Amino acid sequence: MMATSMALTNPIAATIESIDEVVHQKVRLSIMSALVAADDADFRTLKTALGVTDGNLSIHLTKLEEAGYVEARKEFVQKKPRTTYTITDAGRAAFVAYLTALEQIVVAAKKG
Amino acid sequence: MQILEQPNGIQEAAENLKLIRETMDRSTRHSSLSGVAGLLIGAWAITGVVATFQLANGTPPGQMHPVRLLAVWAVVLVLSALTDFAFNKRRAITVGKRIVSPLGARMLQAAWPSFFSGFVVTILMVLSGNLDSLWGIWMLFYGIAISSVGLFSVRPVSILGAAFVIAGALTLIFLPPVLNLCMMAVSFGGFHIVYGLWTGIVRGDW
Repeated sequence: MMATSMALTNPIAATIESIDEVVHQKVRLSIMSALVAADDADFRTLKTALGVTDGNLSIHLTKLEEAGYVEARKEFVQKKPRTTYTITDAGRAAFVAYLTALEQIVVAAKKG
Repeated sequence: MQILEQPNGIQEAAENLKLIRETMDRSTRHSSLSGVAGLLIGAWAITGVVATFQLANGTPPGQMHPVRLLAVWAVVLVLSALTDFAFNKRRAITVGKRIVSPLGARMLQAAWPSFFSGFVVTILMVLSGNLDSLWGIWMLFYGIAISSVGLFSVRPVSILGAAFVIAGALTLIFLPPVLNLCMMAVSFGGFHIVYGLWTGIVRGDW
């Protein structure tokens, strides 16, 4: 109740409340940023670009897949298995909404 | 659920925006011109300028035989394209990506109208005997193509594109024809070399 009334009077608080928790986590945000920029990336590319461990990356990719934000495509390249990840339309929309929210927070803070 | 707390939320928002920018930048780095490729392409262009001067043999380059002139620059274009392809392929392999990617396809889609328009205008200029305007037009169309690619790549690529557009406009409007080839050396040679050095030294992307 208090949070709702605060959100009504404070635009920053309102924007903060609308933040998508799935996207907000740092590793998941980095994964989504990489996929939005490059369209697709395999596991190894993401691991190198983000500097995270296999296990950590795997956990966050699974969470993004479960949210419907990322899709995995498994294939064999030169007889070696490769999993390539792409961002879904829902994922792109969530990313844009998150980005817009961050920008609104920063702009509102600058305006004082 | 409140996952950001003020005032830390404002600082975190700024930090996350920075993280997004940096990650996107890293993820598209393989798609931009590498440092060595920039240096080599600049060197090919300067070689092209020297070859054009040699072939002109004292006559103004604008009065050269168009086939000779176009042959020199077609070689420069092919060498540059091969250099870019080879270095991009090498980099794409090192980061586990294919050179033919959806991102690469979008870049090609963005750039081809400018390259094709440049080609058509080149043919028209040659047929009308107006070789003096070719240099500025090449800079202009190349700049537009690179600016279009820059929309999908790192910021220096957009800056490189803008530099070519400005150089092309200056060449077409202000430069006397006798200085056009010098501007080719400055733009296609110098800009690529500066880009290559900057990419290599500042970004560590040789």
